Amino acid sequence: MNRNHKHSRWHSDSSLFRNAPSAQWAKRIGEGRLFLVFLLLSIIFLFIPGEIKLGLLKYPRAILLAPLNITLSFFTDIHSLNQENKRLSLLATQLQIENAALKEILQSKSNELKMPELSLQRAQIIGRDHETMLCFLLLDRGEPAGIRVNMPVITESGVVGKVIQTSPLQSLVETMLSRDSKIAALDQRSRVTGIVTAFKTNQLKMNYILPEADIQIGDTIISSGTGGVFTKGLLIGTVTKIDNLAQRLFKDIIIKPFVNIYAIEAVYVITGEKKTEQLKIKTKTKEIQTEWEKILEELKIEPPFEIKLR
Amino acid sequence: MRIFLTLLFIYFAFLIQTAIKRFTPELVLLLLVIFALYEQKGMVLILGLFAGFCLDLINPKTFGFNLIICLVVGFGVSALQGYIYHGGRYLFILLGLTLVLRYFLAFVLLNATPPLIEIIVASLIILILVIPLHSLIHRLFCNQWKPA
Repeated sequence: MNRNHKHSRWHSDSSLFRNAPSAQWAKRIGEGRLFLVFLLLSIIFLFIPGEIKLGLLKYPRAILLAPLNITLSFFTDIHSLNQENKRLSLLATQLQIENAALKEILQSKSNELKMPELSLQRAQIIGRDHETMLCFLLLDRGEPAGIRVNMPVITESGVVGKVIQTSPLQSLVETMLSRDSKIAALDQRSRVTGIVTAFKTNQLKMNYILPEADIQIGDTIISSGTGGVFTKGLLIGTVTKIDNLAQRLFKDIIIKPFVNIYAIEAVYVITGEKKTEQLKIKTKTKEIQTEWEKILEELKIEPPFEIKLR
Repeated sequence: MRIFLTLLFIYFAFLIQTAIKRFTPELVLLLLVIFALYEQKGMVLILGLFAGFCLDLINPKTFGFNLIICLVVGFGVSALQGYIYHGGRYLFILLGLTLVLRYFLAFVLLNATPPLIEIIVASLIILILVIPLHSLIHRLFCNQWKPA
């Protein structure tokens, strides 16, 4: 009885906009017809190529998601400790990359020391795509921060993906879990190269590996730098499974990524290599000093004054 | 005025949903179902379009997917509004069906298979939020706001 009463009461005032002009307009056209038209348009939108949609939605996204930028940056500024954390994580990332690069050099047994210093831009993740299981991330930094399309995105643990679109307020990142993502990679131990693509949820697959290639479970996969987007030596993941079926042309190498995209909150965009003047001057100074020492040794005389080079 | 308030509700739900890191509840769909129970079909179509458009902004490459879901769910629920009781277990059934449709279409159209634990936890959060959100919206829009 009570329930019936409640029911009728809710029905009596059920419409919020009973006399709203837009509702009358919809009624005149025919709600069913309107629904079919909208549905048809949505289906057409679904099949339009991704690149076209990407361009069309650049500014609506920047406008509609601007409040997220403002809110998140407000909270970030409140915590002063966050700044320190940022600095330390940046340092950790740089050391990680440096470490990876040094490992690279050791592995290739090269005598020439080439260690690029990378310039990184930290960005907060303000949006995640949940439909396709984190194929896209939205960052709170855009063009003014120096972020451009095709710049690699990393964390302390390894590769996340690459920037596919930028706007003044945000950047859109396609993660390596996206079906369109391809990373030129190599096995750190055996130097076997291949292309890393997305596989199942939070798993990657290394393609084009011949059956006789030397790849073992537990091997570390890093970016090879040949694709033109990802710098050489960035950590991708570890080999967890190898399927070597006789009838197949290539091996199936399953990789577990180092980065857990579900858990990350901030990322770094590699905005360029810091081949700065300072680095050049340092190298030049060292060269001059060694030359000077050689000359002194040949002449067998003590240096009359201390050499100071800026 | 109230239409803007409704759109604002959906917009805030979208912002919250986008910012949540893991086990993201489908807050926008939940609000859409609740509003669709009380609105005329024409209004629900507008709400569905707006909700779908917002959700599709995050993943522009699959733009249209959320539009389809929001339109179908909104129109479907508003078509049922005269036949069902607007609260209690019917709301849970409607939401359950909506979530099944959403994950099924994600699998069919996008080949996206989220981990089972993600689906279960996200759905549980939604089911927990149903009653408080429903009563809040009902108080705000249908009976005027009367603080307890």
